Amino acid sequence: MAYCVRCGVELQKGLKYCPLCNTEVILPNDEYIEEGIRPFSDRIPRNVRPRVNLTPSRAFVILATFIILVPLLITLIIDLTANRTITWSFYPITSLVLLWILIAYPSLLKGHTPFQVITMDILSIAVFLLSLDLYSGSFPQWSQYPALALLLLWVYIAGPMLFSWKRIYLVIALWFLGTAGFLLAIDLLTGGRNWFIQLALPIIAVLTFVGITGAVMRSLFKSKPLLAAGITMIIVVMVLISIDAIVNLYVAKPSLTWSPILAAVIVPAAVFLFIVNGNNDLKAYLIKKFHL
Amino acid sequence: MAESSKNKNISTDNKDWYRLDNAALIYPSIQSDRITTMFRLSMTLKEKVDPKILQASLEEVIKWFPFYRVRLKKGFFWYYLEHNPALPRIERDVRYPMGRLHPNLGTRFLFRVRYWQSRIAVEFCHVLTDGTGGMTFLKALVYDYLKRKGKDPGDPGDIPVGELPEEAAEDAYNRFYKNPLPLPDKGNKAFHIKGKLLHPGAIMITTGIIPMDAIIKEAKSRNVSLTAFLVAVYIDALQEIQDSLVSQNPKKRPIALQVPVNMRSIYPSKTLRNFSLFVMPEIDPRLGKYSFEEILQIVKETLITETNEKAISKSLARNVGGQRNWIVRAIPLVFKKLLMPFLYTRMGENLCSGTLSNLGLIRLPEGMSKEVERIDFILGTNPINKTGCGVCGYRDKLVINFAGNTRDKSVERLFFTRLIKMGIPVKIEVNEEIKKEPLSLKYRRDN
Repeated sequence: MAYCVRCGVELQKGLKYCPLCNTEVILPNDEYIEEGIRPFSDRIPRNVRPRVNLTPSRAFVILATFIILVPLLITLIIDLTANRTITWSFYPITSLVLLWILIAYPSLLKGHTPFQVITMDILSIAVFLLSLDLYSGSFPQWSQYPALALLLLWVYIAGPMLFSWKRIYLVIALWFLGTAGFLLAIDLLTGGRNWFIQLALPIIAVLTFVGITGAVMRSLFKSKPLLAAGITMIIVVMVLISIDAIVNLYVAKPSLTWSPILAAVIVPAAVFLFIVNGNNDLKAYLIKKFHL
Repeated sequence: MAESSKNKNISTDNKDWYRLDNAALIYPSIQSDRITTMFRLSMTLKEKVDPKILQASLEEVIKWFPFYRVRLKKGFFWYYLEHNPALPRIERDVRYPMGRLHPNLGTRFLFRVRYWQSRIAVEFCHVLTDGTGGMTFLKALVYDYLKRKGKDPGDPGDIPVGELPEEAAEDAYNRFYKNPLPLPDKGNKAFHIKGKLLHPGAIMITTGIIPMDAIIKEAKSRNVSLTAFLVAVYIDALQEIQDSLVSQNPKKRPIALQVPVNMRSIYPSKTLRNFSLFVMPEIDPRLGKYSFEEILQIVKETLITETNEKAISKSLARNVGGQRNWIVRAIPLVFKKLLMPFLYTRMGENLCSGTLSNLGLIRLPEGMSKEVERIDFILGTNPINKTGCGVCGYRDKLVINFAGNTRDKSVERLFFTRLIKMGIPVKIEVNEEIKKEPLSLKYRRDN
């Protein structure tokens, strides 16, 4: 039994200081301080933010259906009585249908995954845009570009969702194919000036190569940040030089214009990092002099 | 509806959803990592808790309390409680109890059951119920647990052992509301303890265990009730803190304590949802320093004059009247949510310097009380008042739990040392020991 000499309260076993006044607990006769039964567990659970479920309930979908149905019917009836056919009401009606699909799809599908929902949403927005273009006259006029862009967006989202970040090489490969396909399509649609083969493809190839190297380096140089930073800088320089060369080759003749200046800044810095990485004395000196 | 009718285990007779009661209306909008709106009740048994049996008990007992087997949902104008088809799971206890429950997500229960060694604890979000309702649930749970363990808990008495009548789920505030009455006083901004808050979720619990006869004797000798005595000690402690911080009397603020009143003792209701209101004994130190006897007198008189049907119906009329106002009702929930935190600080927390909630003497059936060693009641904290005090008596002990969200324990120290000076022995327990910084570390940092 221990008492605080200052407050006079009896203290729980095992306390070294009085919780009220912070006075040290003195037990002159006790040989050892007995670890008493603590009144509370020591467990501190990890602070996990619970996931938010965004899927609306079926009951909400039914409510939303009727709320959407009313303006849809109003526009349709007004248009039909005035013009005897569907004219301007096509636009609000398709917009409302799109809205309904975006709200209702997740809850109508049993056991849906976020991937399915995103696929359906992107697809329906693309179809919506194409239908607007189709209805307004000569097709295709403009809608193919946003539709293709949406497709590319889908590829970017779908990659990690299908393969997960663990298979990052597959994700990068899919992104490469998607981007290349998108740019090729744009090139062909805009009259085939052939910039894809000469300009776009080499640049995407370089960027893909960088992505793969980055993924490899992340696993190899985790414990050597200086070396990793140095190599990253060298790779950046190589990328800049190749982009410079590719652009110049496409525009005029093979030459380098701006990239050597950047290389002159980055390469010495990278070399310095390599030296520091190999020299422990220098590392210690730098830490001592520049510690924060 | 679809979910409950599919699941054959769930009685379709049970009500599927509940309106929030008047006291609960404000809590979903104000709850955060710092204002968790939780309170905790626990029973310490003589033997170690068997989690499997406890889980089985919980699954049985929750069926009798359909109004606790709910999750919080958003309507267009108000929040509401909806039947939760899932079954609650027991959890291991933690160092910092009463963590936020995220009721806003609409998938969770609004209470949790925790166990540790020989202790069974329930933590309720105030949206569901008040201390009396929580205690009834805990009693039913422990009673069922002891029965399953093969003990003889004795005749249940008022402890529920089966389906509860519909009355247990009523919103009693609305039932006893009377047409417009004069509004209660608006009150003044009260004194609040200063201090740096701990990180959200952390909570410092200081428990004082006091022999019941000693403290009852002291209160009786002063001719006051136990609650009045404790409230006076608390106010006196707060007065000393304010005196040490502010030297000039005109700059001092009133010291008021929120003392919840169990309305079931005033109105004939058997509801197990919220049914309590506050009275606020208050001293005004601008008028000078109050002696303990003066404070005792004020508290005693306030508790007598304010705790009766007439006086309390004024607050009831204000609260329920606000809820029934058509303009208030027609405001969509999105906007109501913006206004609620403002109302809460302005009309609630700002007006008082702390809360002291006394659940009174808890009585258990004879067989059960042989198995239960101790009962604790802990209030959640909030960033304005910082400290709350939960009191409950059981057998020969009075357990006073202070829960605070700062490292400073001046209130606890002044409160308990006052009792010591009156000759009442106090035993102190804490959930976390604040360790003094070792000298060696301090030295190293200085150089």
